[in-house]
Amino acid sequence: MREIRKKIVTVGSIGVGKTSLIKRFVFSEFKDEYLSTIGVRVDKKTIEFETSKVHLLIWDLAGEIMENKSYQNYLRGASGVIGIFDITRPNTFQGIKEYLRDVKNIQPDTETIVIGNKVDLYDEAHIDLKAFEYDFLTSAKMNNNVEDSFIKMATLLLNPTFSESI
Amino acid sequence: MITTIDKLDDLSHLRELLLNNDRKVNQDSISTLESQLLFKIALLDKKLVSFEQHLQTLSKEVSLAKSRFSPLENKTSSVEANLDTLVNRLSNITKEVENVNINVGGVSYNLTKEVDHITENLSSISNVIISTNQKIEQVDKKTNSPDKFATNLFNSKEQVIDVIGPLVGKIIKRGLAEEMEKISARIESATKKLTSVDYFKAKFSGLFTSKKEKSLIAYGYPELINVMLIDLETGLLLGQYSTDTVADSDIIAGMFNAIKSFSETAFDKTDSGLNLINYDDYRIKLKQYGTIYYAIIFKGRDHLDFHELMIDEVDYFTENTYTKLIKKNKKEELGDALSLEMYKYFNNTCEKLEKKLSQLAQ
Repeated sequence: MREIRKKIVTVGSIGVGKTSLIKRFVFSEFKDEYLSTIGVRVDKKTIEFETSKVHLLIWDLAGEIMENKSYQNYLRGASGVIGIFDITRPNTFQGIKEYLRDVKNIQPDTETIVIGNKVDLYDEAHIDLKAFEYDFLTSAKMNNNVEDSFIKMATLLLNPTFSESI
Repeated sequence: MITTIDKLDDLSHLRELLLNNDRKVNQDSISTLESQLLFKIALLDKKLVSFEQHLQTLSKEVSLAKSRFSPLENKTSSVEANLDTLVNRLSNITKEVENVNINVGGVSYNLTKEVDHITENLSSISNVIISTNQKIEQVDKKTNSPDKFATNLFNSKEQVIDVIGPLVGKIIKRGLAEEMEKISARIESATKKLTSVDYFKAKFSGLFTSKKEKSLIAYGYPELINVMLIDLETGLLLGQYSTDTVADSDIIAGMFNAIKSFSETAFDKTDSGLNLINYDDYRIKLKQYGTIYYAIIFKGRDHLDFHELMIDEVDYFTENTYTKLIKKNKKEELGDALSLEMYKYFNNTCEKLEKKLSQLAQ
């Protein structure tokens, strides 16, 4: 079985739910209180496909780091970047566009996907989702689409030209 | 029951009496009166019949009501009887409670009296609390203003220092004394260890036994735990040699890279210059070669000879084994082949280390 290791980095403004999404995906558990991130944290999740195994080394960057250009140092060597915004805060989507622009400037070959998180708050937020461009709408709290989005990233990393089913 | 015929007989009799007693009475008037009376009697008779029917109906209803009421009457009497029993029992229980005595420490107390006594005490305590609260409120009203409190505190700072100063001094003194005691105990323990018979035994036994390394490690000499070969750019683990199970090596390798990136950011340098990390009882020596670096994890006291030996080893491995492997494979696909080579090579390093340490022991 083909086995590969890939570094992926999650980017997004403070409080969009980066850490919660990773914790949900890696540990399948979620703490309801706000989880502030300090510095950088690396987590690992292995996804097995029919003929391949992908070890994702997921770098969770603190929201504070995202506020200045120093976060670019942590993008070095990343095969994939997941941009996460909070659907209840439209300005966080603008932030994602800027981060992903930086990513493409630094490493043009990096695979990227965009996630709109906190979809469980959609009814209360009264927002128009048409205003955003995204690949997945997720809820770390309700465990909606979390695994699918990371699997999508793993599929892209495994073979950028065609998708392999699980 | 009085029938109509009986009444007609009575009226005929009445007419005869009247005719006999008063001859002047007009025969026609008597007849008219008679017919009127007869009519009224007939009406009354009808009403009587109707009344009689109504009475019969009522009688039936009364009978029905009686039949219904009878069981209820029985139940009521039963409830009344139970109620009487309960009242009697309650009365008995009350009497019993009044006579309950508790024996505490050989002294008998009457429960009811004690409860009464406690209730009285509670009542007086409650009064004291109310009174105290009132006094507190009064004091609060006088000093509640933060400004006033601050002013009072400022004005009486000399007195406050006089009171608190010695206490704080004592606390600091005690804390320092405790820490000094702990440090003395540690120094004493270490001295005992180094001068103990066991230590010398370990040193000499190392000359003749194969267990010398373990013996020496027990006295703080380094123990090689893990050698990781990490890609500098991605932080991905390329291969490793491990003598012990540590947490997920991939995550640890990633975190080393994150720390390196952090130090580069913090000191605004392209190369962090980070070459040694101390963590608890572990030391992590980082040694970079172009786009890769080694993280050598060891345990125990740091030792210059150990450093020199390890640097020689990774230099040799990189120049010979790694360079050959990388010519044949892509870096990210080295995987198991690299780990196998590392295992063979660094296992030998452990033997070299053992020899070195035995020389040191001599």
